[in-house]
Amino acid sequence: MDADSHSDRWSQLNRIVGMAMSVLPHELGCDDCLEFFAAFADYHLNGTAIPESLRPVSEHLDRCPACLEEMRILVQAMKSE
Amino acid sequence: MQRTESQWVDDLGSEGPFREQALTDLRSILVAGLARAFHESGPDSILVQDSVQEALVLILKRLETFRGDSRFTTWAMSIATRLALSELRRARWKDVSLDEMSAAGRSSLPTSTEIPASQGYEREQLMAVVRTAIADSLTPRQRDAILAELADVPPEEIAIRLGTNRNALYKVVYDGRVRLRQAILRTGWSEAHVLEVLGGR
Repeated sequence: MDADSHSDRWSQLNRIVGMAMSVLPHELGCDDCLEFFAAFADYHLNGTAIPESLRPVSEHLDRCPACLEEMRILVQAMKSE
Repeated sequence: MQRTESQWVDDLGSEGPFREQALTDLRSILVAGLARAFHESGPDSILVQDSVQEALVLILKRLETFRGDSRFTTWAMSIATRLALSELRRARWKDVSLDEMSAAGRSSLPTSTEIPASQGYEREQLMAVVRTAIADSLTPRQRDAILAELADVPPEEIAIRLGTNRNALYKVVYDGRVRLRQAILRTGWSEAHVLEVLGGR
């Protein structure tokens, strides 16, 4: 096994333990999160601080790679609009 | 033509030339945005054109749910980008079964024989605890969902295989994460100790 794949596999241990240990009592699901995607993206695009009310979206993006990818794509799509 | 957020909603919700013009304008914004975001796809690509067409139908259907807490075009684009990404993901994973997804996640985890002595005994122990927790503490559905997620399978694809939707899948994974956490803590590991061992890589 080369160093890179070894490192990848170790990061997977961190990831699954991180998934378990970061559980919060109230989390947004993917669809709930999507409702706030546009507002979150606009704050990001405007370079303004994300308000406290959108913190659950930040937390969801921290633990959901699929939604994070969607947010990146959305921001990219809106960059010059 | 520049429109305020409420003008977008009014025009798209109206009949006749205002609606047609708004649809034309929105279509060109969505096409340009998707072409920009998906570099390899030009504005004429099937992915872009199909996603925008589908998005426009959904946008009109959901018009009343626009809350006005963002630009209208960002809201519309969020629908189009999700549809386009879903399509890409569907094509990428269409021939992969749930068992294969789950197996890929399981094999992505290190085994104890791969742990170098320098990484320490505690990490090896933690790995064993995690493997046992995955095997014994999760329902088959939770196990498949979590391992597939670990293999970077997009949630909508896992949801399809499990016969559910993305939000319900999130709940399945959430409940599994709670069980994993409880199982790890039950073995005597504290949260601080786990983080210390993982952080010591």
